Amino acid sequence: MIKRQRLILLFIALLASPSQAGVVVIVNAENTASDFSQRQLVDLYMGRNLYFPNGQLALRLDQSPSSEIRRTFYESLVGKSVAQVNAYWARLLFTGRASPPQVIRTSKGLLQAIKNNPNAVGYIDEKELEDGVKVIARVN
Amino acid sequence: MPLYTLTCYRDVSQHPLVLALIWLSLFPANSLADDFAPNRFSFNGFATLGAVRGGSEALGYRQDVAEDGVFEDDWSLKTDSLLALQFGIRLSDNLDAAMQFVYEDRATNGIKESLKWAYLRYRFSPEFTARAGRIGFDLFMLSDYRQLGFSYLWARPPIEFYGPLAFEYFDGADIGYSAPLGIGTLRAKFFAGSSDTAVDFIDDNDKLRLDEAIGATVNWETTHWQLRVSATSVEFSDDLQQTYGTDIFIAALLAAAQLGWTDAEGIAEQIELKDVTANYYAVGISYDNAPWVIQTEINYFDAEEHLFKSYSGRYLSIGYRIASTTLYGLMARGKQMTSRDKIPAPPAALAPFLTPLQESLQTLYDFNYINQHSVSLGFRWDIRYNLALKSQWDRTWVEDAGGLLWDQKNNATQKETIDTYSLNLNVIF
Repeated sequence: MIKRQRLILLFIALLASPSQAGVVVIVNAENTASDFSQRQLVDLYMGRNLYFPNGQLALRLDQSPSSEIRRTFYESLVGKSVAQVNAYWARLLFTGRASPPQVIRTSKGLLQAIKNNPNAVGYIDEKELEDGVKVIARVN
Repeated sequence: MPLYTLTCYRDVSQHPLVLALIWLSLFPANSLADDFAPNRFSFNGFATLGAVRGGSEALGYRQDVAEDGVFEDDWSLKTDSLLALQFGIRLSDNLDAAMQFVYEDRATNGIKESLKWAYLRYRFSPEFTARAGRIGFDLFMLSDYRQLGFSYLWARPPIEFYGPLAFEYFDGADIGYSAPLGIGTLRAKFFAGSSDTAVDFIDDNDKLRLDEAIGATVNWETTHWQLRVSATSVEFSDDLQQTYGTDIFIAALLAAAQLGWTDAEGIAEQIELKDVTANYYAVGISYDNAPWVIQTEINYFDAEEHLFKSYSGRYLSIGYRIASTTLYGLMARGKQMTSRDKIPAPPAALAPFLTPLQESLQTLYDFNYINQHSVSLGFRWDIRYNLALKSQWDRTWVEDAGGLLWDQKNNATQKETIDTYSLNLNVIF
């Protein structure tokens, strides 16, 4: 009986544990940016500052709106759901203040985009890291 | 059977908004392609399909003074529904252009009124930007997104605060500054231009015009807090007197003065609308930290005219999130700062001739008076990351003759309590 309860608990624990080991923010390996603070990340992804410290315009990339990693990223960064972040971005977009990060639907595509563009910035699951990109922050 | 199908199809196709909404809700949040070069062109939009039931026999519900009203026992789909399309083009890293069209019900409607903005923007540096063209007024918390239902909690912006502000855009220029300040970001903006808007005051198809509008907004924002202060000075166009239809009254009053009504000349001066200027001030604070979302704003419209009295609107909104649903309550009040004017009676000997004039003048004064408050309860349910359903109940207490925010069918309205029920679907794409 106790054994069965343990099994159930273990099963629940497995279900509840996030599938991602950690979310990392990455840039092109040649980008001079390093060690972004939480504040810099929030400013970048909430459209308050669209530039890297070296003055280059950042090409901000986002994951698919229905993906788990996007949910985790914004939950950890600003404590808001994807719908709340979308409502916030809608304000900036439809008042002409700033455009939201560009969506790339797969982590593979996102990695490729970052390798090809020295000013791109995105986030992926730590487990999917590859050569040619550089981690500048960890969000959870 | 084929006939039946055809009728159904026709019924639906008569509501292009219904079709547009269904079609658009199938789109992803941003119509952004999966390429990795920065997009040169962008196309986005938002829409609201809103059903509303409200108003009384005498007072018709409307969102702002540019709209036709919904009267007792009517359900309306057209008053709260709208469709907006936005086009952007990036000409270089520093130069871009944008255009936004909003299709909705208005007292005067056409392509010119539908064009909400069309501007060129230049970024001088990460801190400074300048725009020129048609630009949205940035005077309050919902700056120029009061029609973007997806971005706020309520079925509509609180009418006591937003209703009297019919002006939505100006033709001119602005300069914006943005920089980190403390734990937040400071944004400041200066703007100048001219503006017009459709209104539905005395006759249909009237327009209010501003020859000059100059103002500034300062905004400080963190992840959870937003503070905002703005001040604007406006100068109305000289045709204000025609819009308000006071020419004929002035002529009649001057004639009455000749007949011996000593008060008549003074009243004629009161309703003369020449060189009218006004100042507008607003302060807003919002706090958004799951599960709480709280927002309040106060504005003050400072004007000297009797037909155009100083006005103040305010509201407090408190929302509580439970998973993807937010429950909220809202209290709002809108009132002119001086009491309602009373036209003195003409001398007894002249009363048979002049009482109708006195009554019409009283009606004119009453017609331009605002005094009401309301309480609202509602919920917002985020169905999808780009689709939200909202429902709201409002109870509004309109004081005697205080109904300018409503479409007034009869002239002098009595004190009334009116319920408004709204259900709407908001999408962005």
